[in-house]
Amino acid sequence: MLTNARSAIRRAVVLLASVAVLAGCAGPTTTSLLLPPPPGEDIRSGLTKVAIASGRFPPKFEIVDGPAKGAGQGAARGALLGAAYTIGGASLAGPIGLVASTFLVPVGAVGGSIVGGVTAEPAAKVEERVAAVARSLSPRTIQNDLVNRAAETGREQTSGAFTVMAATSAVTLNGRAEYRSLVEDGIRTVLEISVIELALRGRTAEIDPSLNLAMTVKTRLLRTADDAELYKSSLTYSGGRGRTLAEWLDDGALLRAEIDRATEIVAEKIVDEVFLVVPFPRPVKH
Amino acid sequence: MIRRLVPLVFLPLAACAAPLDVAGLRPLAPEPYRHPPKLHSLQPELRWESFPRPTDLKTDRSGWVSRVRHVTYDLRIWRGSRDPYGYQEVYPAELVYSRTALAMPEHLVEIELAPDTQYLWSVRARFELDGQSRVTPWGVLLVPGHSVVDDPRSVSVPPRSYYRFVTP
Repeated sequence: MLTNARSAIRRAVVLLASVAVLAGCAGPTTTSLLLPPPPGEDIRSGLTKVAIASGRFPPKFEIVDGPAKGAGQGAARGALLGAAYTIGGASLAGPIGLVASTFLVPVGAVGGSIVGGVTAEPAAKVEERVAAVARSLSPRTIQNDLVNRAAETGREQTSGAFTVMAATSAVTLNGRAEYRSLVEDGIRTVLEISVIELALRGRTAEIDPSLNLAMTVKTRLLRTADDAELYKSSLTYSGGRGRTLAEWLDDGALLRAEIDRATEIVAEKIVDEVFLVVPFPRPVKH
Repeated sequence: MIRRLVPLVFLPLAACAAPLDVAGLRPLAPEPYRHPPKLHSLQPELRWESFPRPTDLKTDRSGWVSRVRHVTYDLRIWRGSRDPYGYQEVYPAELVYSRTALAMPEHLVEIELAPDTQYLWSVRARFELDGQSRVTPWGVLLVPGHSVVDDPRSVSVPPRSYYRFVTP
């Protein structure tokens, strides 16, 4: 009897761990987790006249872990959620509840799969909504808004002179940017700011999850004389207030407001990092 | 047996009751605890360490701290909202108060904040270094066991780990 109970608890723990991995750990992902140190004062001393260039490509847009597409996917997610809720609820009753949950899990899973199968939207409808959200975004505007905001913040916060480069300037035939011609205008450095990706992120196991805006932005500081890279970093805005895909689509102003907020926060962070922040001295480790 | 259980029970409780470590200028009032302190006023008086701190002068091997001039402080307060990802608990949803160039490391909030609301706040020093405007990083909590997203140098913005308080 005791062996059975231990085995049941072990199974429940394994199942809970699996559910936690599938459902709870699907947070925002980033390629590099920490920022590099800000540019040194030797580099910053040359940042009196800076040109800011935007990305010359539309940012990738995707829905990550979005709504279940169709009854099949809805039923699968519902089954997982049903099982997880059954174990979670039963575990509140202690070890006896956990033992009981091993018998109730199939019931929870079947119930969840029925609910999931019924409530999930047809795949075509979800795809249509994703396409509609993508169409509502203006990639060129998003890139331009970010560089304009960064230039504005730079002018407010520093004594440097900031010029926003025209989108068509300084691009070579192969599409790569080339800034050496700016030397003649007295511009020694270019700050490239590119929105790489926009995403609405949810959680894997939910049928119609709440989606948060994520905006990934790459920054490079380049010396115009030889196009040498002086500094580079990548930032990800991770939004707080989530909405379902249908809610984001129903009110386009909400998504635009969230992108504006992301733009403001990212622009300020870039200006802080490149031009202003001096880290505290670190204690020497013996 | 009971003697062995005492530290097991009380050490975690003591850890919860101790103020947290921070990265940045340390709040002096309210102090930084894991659970946000409940204040007595809707217009709180906030205080924090001045810059440069004795430890900055002591550990400054390159000598830049001694060249710091004209130190002032930037203060921000955000209304907090629950973070959907859970592990970060509270998100700085809306910037409700901002002051720059405060001369002293303290400030009496000049507006009435909303009652029974969790707020996040942070400060940084603004100063001149060799004639150029510079700032220290915004202060954040270092909550034990939190994810790398809460690291002060995280690529994820905005930070979730600003200092906190709850209004009465």
